[in-house]
Amino acid sequence: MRFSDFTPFDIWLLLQGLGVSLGLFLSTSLIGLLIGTSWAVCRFYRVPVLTPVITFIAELLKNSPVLVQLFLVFFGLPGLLHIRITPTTAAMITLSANSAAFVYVIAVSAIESIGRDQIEAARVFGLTRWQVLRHVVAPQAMAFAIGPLTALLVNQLQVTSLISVIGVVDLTKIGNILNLRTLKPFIVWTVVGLLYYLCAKLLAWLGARFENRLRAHAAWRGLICSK
Amino acid sequence: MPFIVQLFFFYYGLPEIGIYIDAFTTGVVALSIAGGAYASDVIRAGILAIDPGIIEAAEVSGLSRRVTFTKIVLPIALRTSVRPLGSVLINMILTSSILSTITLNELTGSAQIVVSQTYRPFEVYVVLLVVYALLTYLVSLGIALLHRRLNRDMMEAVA
Repeated sequence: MRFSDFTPFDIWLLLQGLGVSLGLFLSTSLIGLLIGTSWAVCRFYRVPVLTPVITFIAELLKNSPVLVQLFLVFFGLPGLLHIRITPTTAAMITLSANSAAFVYVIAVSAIESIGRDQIEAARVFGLTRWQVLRHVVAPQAMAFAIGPLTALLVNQLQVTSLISVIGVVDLTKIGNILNLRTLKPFIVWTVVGLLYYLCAKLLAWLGARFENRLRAHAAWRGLICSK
Repeated sequence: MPFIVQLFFFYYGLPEIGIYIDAFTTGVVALSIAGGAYASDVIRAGILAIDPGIIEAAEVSGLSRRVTFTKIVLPIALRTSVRPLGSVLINMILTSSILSTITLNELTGSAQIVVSQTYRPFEVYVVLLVVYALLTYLVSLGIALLHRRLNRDMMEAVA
């Protein structure tokens, strides 16, 4: 029997790959969001030594290809620290760090978009720095950052396809396997591309909805505490 | 659609319809199309950002649509979109590392060869990281210079 035709099982395989891609995407985005935001908070508090270090790391992560970072973690770290790293762990580390760097930039510009006068006014009222961050900066920065964040997430979803190179069986890897078996690259890569496209569209739609809600809130608030 | 999927689409798909091209040409085609898509988005935003009054003024002056576009709209749009175009360019430099997956020995591909010869992956990939960062840093410096030079007559208005 020749296994050169598509079988119904291939759909299951594709969905499995999609699940791995989406799972990694969601978890690394979440970790990246947490780390990136905490870096931005570090900068907001102007922690002495940490802030320049963070800025440097973020710049380095932003200005180098994800593929190279992936190779560094997957091939480089085990040799240096004498540990074993599975492809999934390497992918998690790299993608989280990479998203964190971009989230950091977005969060910093979102915080800076809020006028200094507002922060000063809140400080004069006797709010602590944490209260300023929690009640004045965070709500407005969220509304500002949600647009760029959506664009970033759509991009990060596509970046996850790179982890197939180090052997994580994600959607792209499944596409590769199916392509090698059936030798029908046009159909396989069209379907894979379409699946990615649909996910990205869904993500963009969700982001737009969320942004509308946050913005409506911000506009309503703007009427009351007009500048 | 991820770039790597587009790349595989071209690299494995084109030979099936009788077009045989090497990895380098495939890379050039795929990267050009992906970069072109981003650049068109940027330039479109640049065109939309032009004050409609300028275009109306050109129309009133009796310029044809083609002349309006080539002599007025395009220079302004390209000038204002230098910086976003630069970030598209930097992104393309980073994206080009993916071409190593289709057996093209560019910077990343060569580094992989060096690693397989020396068995020092950490050192090689750290150097590679720094080289890419330096490369994109130099490009962004150049873009900033170009931006300042092209927009020098609007500097007082901006800053």
